[in-house]
Amino acid sequence: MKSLLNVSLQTKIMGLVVSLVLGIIIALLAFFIYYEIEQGVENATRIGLQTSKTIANMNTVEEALTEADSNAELKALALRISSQVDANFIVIEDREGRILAHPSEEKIDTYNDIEENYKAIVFGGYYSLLSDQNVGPSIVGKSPIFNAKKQIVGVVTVGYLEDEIYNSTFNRLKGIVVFAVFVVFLGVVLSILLARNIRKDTMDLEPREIATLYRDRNAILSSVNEGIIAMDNTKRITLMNETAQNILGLPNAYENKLIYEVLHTPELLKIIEDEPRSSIETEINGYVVILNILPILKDEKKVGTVISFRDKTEMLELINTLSEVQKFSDDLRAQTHEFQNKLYVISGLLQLGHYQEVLNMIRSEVSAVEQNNKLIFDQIKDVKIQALLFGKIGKASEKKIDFEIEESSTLEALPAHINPAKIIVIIGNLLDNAFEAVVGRDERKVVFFAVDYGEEIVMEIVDSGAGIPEETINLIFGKGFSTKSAKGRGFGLSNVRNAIEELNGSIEVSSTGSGTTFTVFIPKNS
Amino acid sequence: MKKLLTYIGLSSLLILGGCSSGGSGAEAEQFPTKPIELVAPATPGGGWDATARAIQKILKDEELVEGNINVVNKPGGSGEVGWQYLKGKDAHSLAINSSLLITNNLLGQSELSYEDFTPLAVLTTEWISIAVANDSPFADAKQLMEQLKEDPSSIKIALAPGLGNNDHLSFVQAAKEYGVDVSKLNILIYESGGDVVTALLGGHVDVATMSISESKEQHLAGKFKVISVSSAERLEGLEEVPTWQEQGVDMVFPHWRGILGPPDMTEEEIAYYDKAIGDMVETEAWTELMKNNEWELFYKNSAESAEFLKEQTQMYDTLLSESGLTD
Repeated sequence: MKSLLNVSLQTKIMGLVVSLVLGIIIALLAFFIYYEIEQGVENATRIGLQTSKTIANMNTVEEALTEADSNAELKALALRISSQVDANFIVIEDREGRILAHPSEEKIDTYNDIEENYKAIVFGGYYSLLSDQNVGPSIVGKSPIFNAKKQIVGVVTVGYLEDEIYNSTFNRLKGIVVFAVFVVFLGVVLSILLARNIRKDTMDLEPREIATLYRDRNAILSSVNEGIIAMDNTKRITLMNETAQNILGLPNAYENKLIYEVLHTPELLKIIEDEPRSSIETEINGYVVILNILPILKDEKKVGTVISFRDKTEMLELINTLSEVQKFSDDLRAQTHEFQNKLYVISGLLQLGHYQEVLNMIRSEVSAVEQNNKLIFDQIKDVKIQALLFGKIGKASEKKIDFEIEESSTLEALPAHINPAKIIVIIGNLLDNAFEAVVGRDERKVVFFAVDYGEEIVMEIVDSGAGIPEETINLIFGKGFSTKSAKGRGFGLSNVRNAIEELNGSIEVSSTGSGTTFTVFIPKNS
Repeated sequence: MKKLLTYIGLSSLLILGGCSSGGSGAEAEQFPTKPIELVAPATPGGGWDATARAIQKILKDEELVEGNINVVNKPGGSGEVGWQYLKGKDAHSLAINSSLLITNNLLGQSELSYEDFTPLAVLTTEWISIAVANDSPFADAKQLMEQLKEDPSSIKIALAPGLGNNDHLSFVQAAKEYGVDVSKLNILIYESGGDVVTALLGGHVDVATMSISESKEQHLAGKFKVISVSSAERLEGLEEVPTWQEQGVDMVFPHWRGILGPPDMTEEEIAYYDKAIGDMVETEAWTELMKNNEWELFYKNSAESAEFLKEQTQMYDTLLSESGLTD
C-alpha cells in the first residue's frame, strides 16, 4: 500500500482523475443500461400486448381461423404486422395450440403446449409474460381471438426477443463508450498538464521532497542562534524562527500577518523599508541586536525579504564582564602602586631615623586596612562582592578618595537566583560613577552601604560630588547618556538599569549640590 | 444562515399545514356538504343498478345520511366506465363494485384495481348455481364432472354475458378441482341470463351456470333442475340442492357486491360511511330487500373490505393463472 502511494505527483493526479472519470462514467453507464433495458422491456410489454389485441380483434384473423385452411392469409398478415410494429415475431395458434402463423415455415401446423395460453383460452384474458416457447427468450403479449359467438377460437402472441432489447441497448452504448474514451483521454492529458504546472510551482520537487525540505528547514532554523524572519513582497511574514520569537517576545500566531501588525518598533520597520543592508545595530524590545537584511530572489526578481539578527546584549554582557576584569586588574595595579609609595615613605622615614613616625604611620595604615578588611570579611559574606569592594578600595586609595564602607553594612551570601554578574555590574558601575563624581572635589568621600534585612537587599552609594543637574536627572539611565564627552561611553547607568530590571529590583536617585545618593532595591525572592 | 431560514420557512409551512388540516377536520364533522352520489356502473335494471337504488332508498328512508343521495348510471366496459368516473371524484361519490373490479384487472381488460380506491363495504352476496335440463343424464354435479373429466368438450355449457365473470369462474374452478382439462370446455356465450335459461329449456345446451336469483324460480317451477350451489350451506327454499362441498369440491364461491369510495378519503369520511352503512344493514328494510333478491348478508366494514379484496385478488390470480394442467 505504501509503495502504491509512493509514486510521482503526476501518477497520483492521473490515477485520481482517471479513476474519478471512470467511476462516474461507469456509474452513469450502469444507470443508462438499467434504464434503457427497463424501458425496452416496458415498451415491449406494452406494445406486444397492444399489438396482439389489435390483431386478435381483426375480422380477417377470426375469419381465417374459423374457415381454416387460409393459413397463407394469416401468415402474410402476421408477417406484415410484425414488420410494421417491429415485433420480432407474431404467432397465431388455435385453441388446441396448433400453430397457424409463425415466422419460421417448419413450425406451421405443429402444436404448442397451451399452458401459456391458458388464461386467454379459458378466461379470455389479455396478458404479458416471459416466454421462450416460440423463438427464444422473449417478452410476449397474448390476446384471445373470439368468434362471432364470443367463443375463443385462438390466441395471438406478439413477441419481442430479449436479446434484441439488449442488442439495441448495447448499440446505443457504443457511441457513449467512444465519448467516454475521449473523456478519459482528456482527463489524462489535463492531469499531466496539471501535474506539470504544480511541479513548476514547486521547482520540480515532488511533494514528499518538499516535505523533507520543510522539516529540515524547521530543524535548522530552530537550531540557529540568530533570529530569522522572512516575508514576501507584501511584507507578510512567511516564516519566523523560535529565536526571533524569543528576542521579539512574540506569540506563535504570526504567520501571514503583516510585519507592521507584529512588530511595533518603528526604527526596525524603517530599517526594513530600506535597501538590503548588513550589520545594522539597533534596539528591539530592549535588546540591542545586529541586523542583516537580504532580499529573496527568484529569476533575478525580488520576491521577499529575509531579516536575520543577533542579540547584542549577550555580546555586551561578555564585554562588560571583560571590562570588569580589566578594571579589577587596573585597581590592583593602583593598589600596588599606592603600596609602593607607602613603602618609599617608610623607607625614607627609616633612613631619616623617624622611627616613631614610621610606627605611627604603619599603625594607622594597618588599622584603616584592618577596619575595612574586618568589615568586609565579617559583614559582607558574598565573596564576589568582597573581591569587588577590595578592588574599589584600592582604586579609591590611588585616587585619594575616601572610600568608606558603612559600619552597619551586613550582606549574606546572595540567593542562588541572583546572578552575581548583575550585582557586580550594578555595584561596580555605581561606584565608578561615584568615584568620577568626586574626583577634583575638595571633599572626596564615597560611602557604600548594603543591608539585606527583610525581603530586599538594599544598597546605597553616596558620593560628595557636585550632584546631577535637575534637568538631566531623568535622562541618566538612558542609553548613551554620559556626563563625559568621550565616545563609547554612556552605557554604564543604562546597563545598571537593565541589570536591576532583570532582577526585578528598583533604583532611586536623589541629588543635591553637595552629593548624590543612589539606592538600589533587589528583592531576595525570585 | 440561509439554511436556517429555509428550516424556519418549512416548519412554519408545516404548522400552517397542520392548522389547515385541522380546519378540514372541523369541516368533516359537517360531512357531507353536498348530495351524495352513488354510481351504478351499469345500465338501469341490472344487479348493480338494483343494489344502488336499494341502498339509496334505505339510506334516505331511514335517514342514515344527511342531505340528498342520488343514483348515477355509468354503464360500459364491465364497470370500467363507472369506476374510472369515481376515481376523479371526492368523498361525496361512491360506487357499487364487485369481483369484476378484480378480474377485469387480472384479465388485462382494465388498468384499475381495488388499490386505486377506498373499499368502504362489502354488502351482500349471491350464490351461483349449476342447472341442467330435467331430462339430463346427470343427476348431480359429480356425474357431470366425471363426464367432463372424460371428455371436456362433450358438454355444452351456457353462460352470460361473457367469459371471466363469476358464473364462469366458479364453474371453471369447480371443474379444475375435479381434474377437468378446462381449456377444452365447450362454452356457449349468451347475451343475458334470460337467454341462458331459454337455451337450457330449449335443449340447446347441456348445462348452465348462473346466479341463484336467475335459476331459483325455474327450478321451483320444475322447468329445469339446479344440481349444485356455490354456498357453504344449503340455501333456504332450495334445501334439496346440495352444495359443491357436499359433492366433493372444496369450494365456496360468493358473488359479492360492495361499495367503493374514491381514492384518498380521510379517516373521518371513512368513519362516516362505516357508520351509515353499518346501520343500514341492520335495518328491517335491508333484510327485506335481501330476501326479495335472494341475496345474503355479507357485510364487511371498510377495514375488513380492504383485507377481503386483497384475499380475493390473490384467489382470483391463482385461479386465472394456474391451469392445473401441469399437476
